[in-house]
Amino acid sequence: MWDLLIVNPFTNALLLIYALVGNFGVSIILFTILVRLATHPIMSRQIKSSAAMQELMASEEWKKIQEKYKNDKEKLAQEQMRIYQEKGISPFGSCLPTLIQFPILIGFYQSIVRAISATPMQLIALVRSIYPGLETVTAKASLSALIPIHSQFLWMDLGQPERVIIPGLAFGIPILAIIVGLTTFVQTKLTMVPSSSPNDQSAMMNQQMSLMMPLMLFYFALNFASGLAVYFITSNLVGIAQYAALGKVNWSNLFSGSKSSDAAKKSIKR
Amino acid sequence: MKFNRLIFFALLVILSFALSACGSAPATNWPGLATDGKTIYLADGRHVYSVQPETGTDLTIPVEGVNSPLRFPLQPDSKMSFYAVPALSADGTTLVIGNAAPGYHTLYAVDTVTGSIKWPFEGSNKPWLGGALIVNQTVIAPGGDGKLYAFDLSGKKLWEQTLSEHALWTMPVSDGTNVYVATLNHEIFAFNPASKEPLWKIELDNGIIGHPAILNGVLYVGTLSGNLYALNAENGSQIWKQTLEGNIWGTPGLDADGKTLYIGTVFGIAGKFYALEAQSGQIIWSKDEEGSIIAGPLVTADQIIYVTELGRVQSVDKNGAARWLADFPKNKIYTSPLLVGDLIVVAPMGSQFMLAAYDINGAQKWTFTPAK
Repeated sequence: MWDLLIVNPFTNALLLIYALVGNFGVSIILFTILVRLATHPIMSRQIKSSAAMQELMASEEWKKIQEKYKNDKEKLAQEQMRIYQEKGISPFGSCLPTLIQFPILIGFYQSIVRAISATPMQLIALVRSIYPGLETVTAKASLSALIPIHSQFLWMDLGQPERVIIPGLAFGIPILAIIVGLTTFVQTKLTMVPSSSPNDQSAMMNQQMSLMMPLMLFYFALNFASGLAVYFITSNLVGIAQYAALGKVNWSNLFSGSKSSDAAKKSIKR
Repeated sequence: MKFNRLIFFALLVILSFALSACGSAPATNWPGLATDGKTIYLADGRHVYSVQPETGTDLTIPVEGVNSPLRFPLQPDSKMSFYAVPALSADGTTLVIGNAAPGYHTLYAVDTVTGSIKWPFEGSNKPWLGGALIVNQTVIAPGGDGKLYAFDLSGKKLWEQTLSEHALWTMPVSDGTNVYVATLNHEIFAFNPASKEPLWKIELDNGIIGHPAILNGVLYVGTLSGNLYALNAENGSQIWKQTLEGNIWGTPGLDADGKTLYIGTVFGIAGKFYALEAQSGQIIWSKDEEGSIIAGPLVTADQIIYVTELGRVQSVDKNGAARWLADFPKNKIYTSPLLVGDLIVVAPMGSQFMLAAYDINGAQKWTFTPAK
């Protein structure tokens, strides 16, 4: 069912773009942009929901109930729910869209791995997942025209973890993984919503996220097929562009540190 | 907010597991199986195992005074994995196989008596999945980097030639003089092992996974389009072409007299098994199977044994009538059956044992589970 609904359609879309452009790296980039555009409404909702949540937490009313019921967790929860309802904010509004994007990320990764087919066994799954009607769109999408998929893109083999070998060095440099880490860090910083509350837990979470996400995606890019790293980099850059288009990019976060991180630091010291 | 935080970290953990489980770098393939008649060599993941055909147990050697299984490497090494068909020298003392582990791309020549490395070749930068061939003291090895390599038995590289942008997965074959290599890039090349310049090359209609079969100066090879070709080994010219139902993944099997050709196909998740006239390509009979037939068949004097993806080992006579069958319903079989003396050896995947051996009447003689 997972293959039928997610992986096969993604794989065929990826192959169709590959058939049209003739370069698997470019097809990953184009498909990533398409996926990001298709999920833009979800992301837009997530951004708005996060902003509303931040605004709420900075409000006097919120701070008051935090102080008032700091020793009564049950009552505090009831009051928080009341305010959520009054303001029309869903506490899951910023999480659910992320949850929806997860299957897309996993399915997309599986479709990249399947399309690249690093072994004959993986090729069996690829051949079986190609829609018979794909070649009616373009003759370049027939099985014989598609196989073998040329997974070379710039200096990397998209089916293998990427390393740049420098003469004299005993190990390869994971350039792509470093770019993934950097772009993820930049995206997280730029899209962080500033918090005006010094003891705001969301500020702490933002702070942790701005370190955790780049490290985690760096690890994935280091160990998995470099096609995934191309996806991460494209996705990060498109994500920044999407935030910029919505006017939600905080350029000041990148160089001067954010209020939220300052708040988080103060909060941690306490 | 704490709840959101918990969800966030839970999602990170789920994502980590999901990505790790769904096709991470360590690629796997079906096992490689070979024999010199005295020992069965099985390349299946971390080791190349040496199995005694008489008992179905590990061959052993004394290590520090204790009898230990003879395998390569002797101790498991996370930087090694093997799936190619092992290549054996004529005297059976040297085994050549490439490492398929990502990031560690060494071709090894191994001493079959001690399990030690005779020589390594580290000049490739991609995993090795295609089996090598040793012909007239020359090792011909298809690389994951799309290059064909030639070495002498001491490990000296004689030449290399780029054949494809894609990895070479197909084992070379020889008629005793020349070597023939098929590629996923739709091409077949002929070489004299003494030279890196191809004698000829031809392009077929689709990718080729199973290596060609060769008999009496004719190459028989199938493509993913389901076309089976007979080609003149001297110049690659087409003698005949027959289109079958489904894709062809395996190597055709030939009768000893070269009159009949057998091959299975992949038709969705089902399969079909064919017998054809080797001279004309005319279909003599065909037989539907519930499971796809990926591997090439084993042809003996009076029966043909083929395996299906649904874990079936099927023996038929030359007219296609069933003789015996064995089922591994929970397992898949992608590796061609191997004849070792009077035994038919199969390698089911995902089973509690790695090999099963049958006599010619289909009675199971033993199963092989590696000693710990």
